Amino acid sequence: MQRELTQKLHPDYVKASRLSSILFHIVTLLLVSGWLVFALWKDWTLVPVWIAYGILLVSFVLFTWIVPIYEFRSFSFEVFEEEIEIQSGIIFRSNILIPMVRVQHVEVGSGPIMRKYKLASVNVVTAATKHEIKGVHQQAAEELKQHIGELAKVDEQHD
Amino acid sequence: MTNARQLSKLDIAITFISNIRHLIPLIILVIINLKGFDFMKSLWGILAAVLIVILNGVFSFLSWKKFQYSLEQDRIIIRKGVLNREEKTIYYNRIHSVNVQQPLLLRIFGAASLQIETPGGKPGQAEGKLRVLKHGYALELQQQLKYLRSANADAKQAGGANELTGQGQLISNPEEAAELIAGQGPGQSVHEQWKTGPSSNEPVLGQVQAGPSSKQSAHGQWQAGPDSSEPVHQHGQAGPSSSQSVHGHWQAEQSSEQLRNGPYTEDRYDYYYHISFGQLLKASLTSLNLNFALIFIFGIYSFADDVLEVVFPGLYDKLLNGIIDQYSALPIILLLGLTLLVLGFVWLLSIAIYLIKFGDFQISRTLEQLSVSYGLLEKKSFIFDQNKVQAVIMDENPLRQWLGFAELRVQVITSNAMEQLVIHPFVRKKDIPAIMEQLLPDRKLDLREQLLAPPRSAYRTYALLPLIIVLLAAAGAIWWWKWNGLWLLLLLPVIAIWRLLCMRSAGVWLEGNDLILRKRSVNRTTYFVRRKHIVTLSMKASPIQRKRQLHNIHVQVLGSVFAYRVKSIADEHLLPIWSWYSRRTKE
Repeated sequence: MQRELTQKLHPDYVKASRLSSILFHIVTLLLVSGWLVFALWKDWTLVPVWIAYGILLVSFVLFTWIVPIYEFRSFSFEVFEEEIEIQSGIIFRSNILIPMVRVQHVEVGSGPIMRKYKLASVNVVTAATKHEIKGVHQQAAEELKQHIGELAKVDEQHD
Repeated sequence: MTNARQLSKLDIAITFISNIRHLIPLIILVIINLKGFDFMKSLWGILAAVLIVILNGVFSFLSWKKFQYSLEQDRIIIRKGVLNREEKTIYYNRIHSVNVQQPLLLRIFGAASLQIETPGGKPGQAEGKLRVLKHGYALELQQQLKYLRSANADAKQAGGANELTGQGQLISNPEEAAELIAGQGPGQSVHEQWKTGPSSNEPVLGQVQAGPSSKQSAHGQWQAGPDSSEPVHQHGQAGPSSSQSVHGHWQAEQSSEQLRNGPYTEDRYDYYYHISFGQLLKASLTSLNLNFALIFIFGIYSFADDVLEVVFPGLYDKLLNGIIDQYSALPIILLLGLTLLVLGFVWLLSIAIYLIKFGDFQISRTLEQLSVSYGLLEKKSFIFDQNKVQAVIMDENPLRQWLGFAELRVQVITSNAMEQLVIHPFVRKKDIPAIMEQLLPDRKLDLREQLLAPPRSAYRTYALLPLIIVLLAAAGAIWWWKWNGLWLLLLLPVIAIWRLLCMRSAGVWLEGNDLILRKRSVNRTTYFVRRKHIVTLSMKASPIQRKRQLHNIHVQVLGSVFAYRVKSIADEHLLPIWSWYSRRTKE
């Protein structure tokens, strides 16, 4: 909370995040348009369709231009010898402290869009929670996995 | 299987009845719909009913017939199952505890069930269960098992039973076996030995008392021996000179010194408590546990129409018309009256539900194992290791807080229970430190009233959102119901005061290795968490909170689905907690 966290996401995360937002909105747009056609055909009211279009437009602008940038800016993390600290959240900012002794395992995963930019997300899993570092370079993710795995082996001697 | 034994024949009757009990909802449904349900009145319907009863009888008989258990030299073998046969072997030295329980149905028949728990067993579900035994016999068997267990453990320590006695062959008669293991002469059977045995073999858990006069402690009747100052377990009666009262008091062993040196220390209760009826009643009166009752009411609501229609045909319409006729004249008084009536009923119901749920509550501690059981109709019992306790939780509803009482719970992780277990349903707050000293000696609770509370400036973060939601709801209501919707605005001050109380109750405190968190939704809840049990710690803040230098603190503990959270604590109070938890800043 009181220290600067040096690690950031990979800058390409913004691009990947935009691309996936665009794809998502295209699919949703098609669905809503399908609904529009259906509503015209059945002579239903068109009010919900216009509302849906409105929401879609706002969400498109928000999640394609604004959110990825701020997400990138607000996310930082650092792996210390005995713990991991992650800061995230655009509006509601959260700092989380995960002691190495609580880490059960680390997962690395990436979807097709992330792979296109050679990105991967790292999931730090404890017995009760799961914390995602989404969007580091594939190689960095692999290194992170190894590194945390090594550190998490250490037994805790004191309370 | 040698020397196979069977359950009491009462098992047939009890299985029969409890099978029928499962059918009660169906029976009720059929009775309610009897009018429109011609099938049941036809010959086929009656035949079907008779068939079900006969099948049930046959099945009950078979399940008794097929249930066999036998005590072998070093293990108990249980075989059961009509279609799916199941054989279970439990080695005596793995037995963790043997419990005798009497649910309501069994009590009516003077029977009891015997449960054998092992460390790996699931909580609330015994590893081995002898469903129905005569109560006296169950208690006898309990002692016998305990004896065999410790005899086995002793023999094992001495290098194995067979080597000890120099005999290689398997001994089929368990009593004989136990004698050999214990290195006793053949004259005395185990059976008698544990009952009347020398003082060193004093049976412990069930408090079947082995005093000089123990022969008179016949089946089912338990007496504390003249010298015994131990708490009496189960449904015991204190002997005339027993110095301790039996019910409703926290009982610590006082003469444990001498007893601890006995061979069966393992079984000795370090702590035992059984709730008295008086306390249970007080607990239920103050429980304010309306959610159960409300669920129940909603549950019967769907039936209500049908039931009323059957019992008082036409009443419903009359009543409704009556209300509508009167509506213009005295609506508020009538509504108020009805509301009070319903609330009163719900309250009574919640008391009854509470009594049933927590009736016969008992908790005991043996070395590091805690064992909790409660419930009148449905008996729940849990056994857990004190080291598995992740957090201690003190919960006070407004009424109890005012009276100075609380409910104590613990967060535990066990193989199939991820929940908070009640370790004391109703305890005077003053007594908590003393009780915890005995119950969980490594968890001394510091019950301070004054915590580091949110500052005044945090009120906005507490009240703003709920007030906005109420305003929106009121706006909607006014738009919909016109002037009548204005009534909803009365909620505003209620919400404002409620949030103020929530804020006043909230707080954090750091005490050595313990973090104390307190918050209120309706009940005031205090969490006592040890540093080593915190899985993750996080601090969250909205822009409003950041501006005022406040954060919400979230503490995640194993076994809890949600993190324990307290809202809007000043950063100056949170930073010490952060560095207390952080491994880095500590060095």
